[in-house]
Amino acid sequence: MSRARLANLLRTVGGPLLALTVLLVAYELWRRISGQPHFLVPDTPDVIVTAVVDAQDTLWPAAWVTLKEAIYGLLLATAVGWTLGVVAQESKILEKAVMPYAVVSQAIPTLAIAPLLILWFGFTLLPKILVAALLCFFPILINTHAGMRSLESEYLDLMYSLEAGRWQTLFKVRLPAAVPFMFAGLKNGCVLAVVGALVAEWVGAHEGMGPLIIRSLGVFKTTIVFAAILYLSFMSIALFWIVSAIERIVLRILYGRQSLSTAA
Amino acid sequence: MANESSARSGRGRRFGGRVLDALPAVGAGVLALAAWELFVPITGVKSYLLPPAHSVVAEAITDASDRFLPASWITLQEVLIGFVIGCGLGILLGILLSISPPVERAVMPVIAGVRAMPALVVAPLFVIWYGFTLTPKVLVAAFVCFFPALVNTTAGLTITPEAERQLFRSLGAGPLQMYTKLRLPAALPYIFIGAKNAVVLSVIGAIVGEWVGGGGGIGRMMIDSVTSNRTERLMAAVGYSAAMAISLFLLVSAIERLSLRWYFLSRGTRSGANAAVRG
Repeated sequence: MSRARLANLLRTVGGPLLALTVLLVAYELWRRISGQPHFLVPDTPDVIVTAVVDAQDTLWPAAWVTLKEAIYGLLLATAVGWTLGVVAQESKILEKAVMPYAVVSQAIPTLAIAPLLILWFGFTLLPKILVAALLCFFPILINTHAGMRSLESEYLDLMYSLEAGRWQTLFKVRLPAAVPFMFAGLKNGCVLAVVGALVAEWVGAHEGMGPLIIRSLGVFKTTIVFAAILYLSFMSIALFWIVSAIERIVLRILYGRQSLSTAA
Repeated sequence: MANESSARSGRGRRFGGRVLDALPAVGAGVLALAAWELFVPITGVKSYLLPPAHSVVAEAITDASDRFLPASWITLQEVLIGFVIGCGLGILLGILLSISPPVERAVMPVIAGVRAMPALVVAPLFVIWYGFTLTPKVLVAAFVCFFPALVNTTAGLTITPEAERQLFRSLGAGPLQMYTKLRLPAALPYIFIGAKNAVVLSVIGAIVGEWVGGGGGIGRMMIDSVTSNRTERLMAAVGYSAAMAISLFLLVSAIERLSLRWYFLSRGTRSGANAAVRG
């Protein structure tokens, strides 16, 4: 039991860190073999030193801007996506009006709308928040909707036989069953929110990680670019951890301790 | 499609029922278009901010052969080459990993962890390494679709149903037969989910690569339209990129449907039902 929990925790925390380490090692190996010049392909220790030394002045302020955009976007998408996903289950006409578009959205490069939003709202925070939100909105919506429909019909039959009303069925059975799915969508959204904020900054921004990367590239400060990539990776990993932690707490409240390992 | 789902649910859904089903979605689309058309004259919003829908469509049609199609062709090349490289390598590596279960178990958390990382951040790097050519966009497209392909291949190859495994074992199937006759076919639906995911991602990758690194594709056109306030052209370009992604998605779905007849017959579900994956 506790072993399962430990394994679960390790997977959530360790996986991304391990992935990052493996990528760094692979990069370092490739760098040595390819023999590219240092100003194009900086070595890993240099990057890590830069990530620490330049943190105060350049990297952290820029990272904070991007992180804010990503978090606001994620919150916005979660609020709308969860609500709509739940309501779509309860209102069939809404479901039929909205869900086809949610499915189609998976076949569309939603990021392409970024230039339009920049054109409308200028170099402010708002378009980046909207792009971040738009990018993670559909996975959150689709997962929530799938979660609301995930229930086996026995449970619904039971509730029906107990003469439970619509709201009771929703809050006592459907919603609790949907929670793991809702969080799965949200966890997917963490990366997408960071990507959305960053790419929107590339299209048009004065501050944030996006402009920092482009400016540094222009003067061949590749160590800064690599450090920025490290920051961005940590950013989405950290968001992922936070969401996973919240998920564990919520699931513990809903299901109790014992089913944690299966529910998560 | 309709036959399969009705065969499973047991209640026949005739054509009229399907039209009724589609009505709310079509209605919502028409309403949105009408609202857009009416919004412009009523509010008097400047056309460089929001051109009316019909002028975007007009732009998309009149400039198609001069501007949009040549640009789309450049982007499509980047997308296709990138997709084939990235998705191919992803599937190949997934298959290679699955040959040795210990290696696979060791690598799984790494692969899962990579999903928590923003792959698109590498775009500027590829641009500085390979200049304003086709290569960096191809590489971005390949890079972003590599991981979904790999993750789905690995997932598909690991979750062969136990009952079928036992059946194969009891019939005396060797390891090779087990692999080619059971595990690989059972993994195909998952691999196709990954491929459909990947093909859309590779369009995004190519476009973002163009945003960062210039070139002549549809992505570059969007940025140029923003800087010159040509909103009609921008919106038409977004439309073209969406059309490209949808066509490629449908193409992969068609290949999926052709090669997985057995799967859709036995399950009676649409592939769309698999879209939501519990993470």
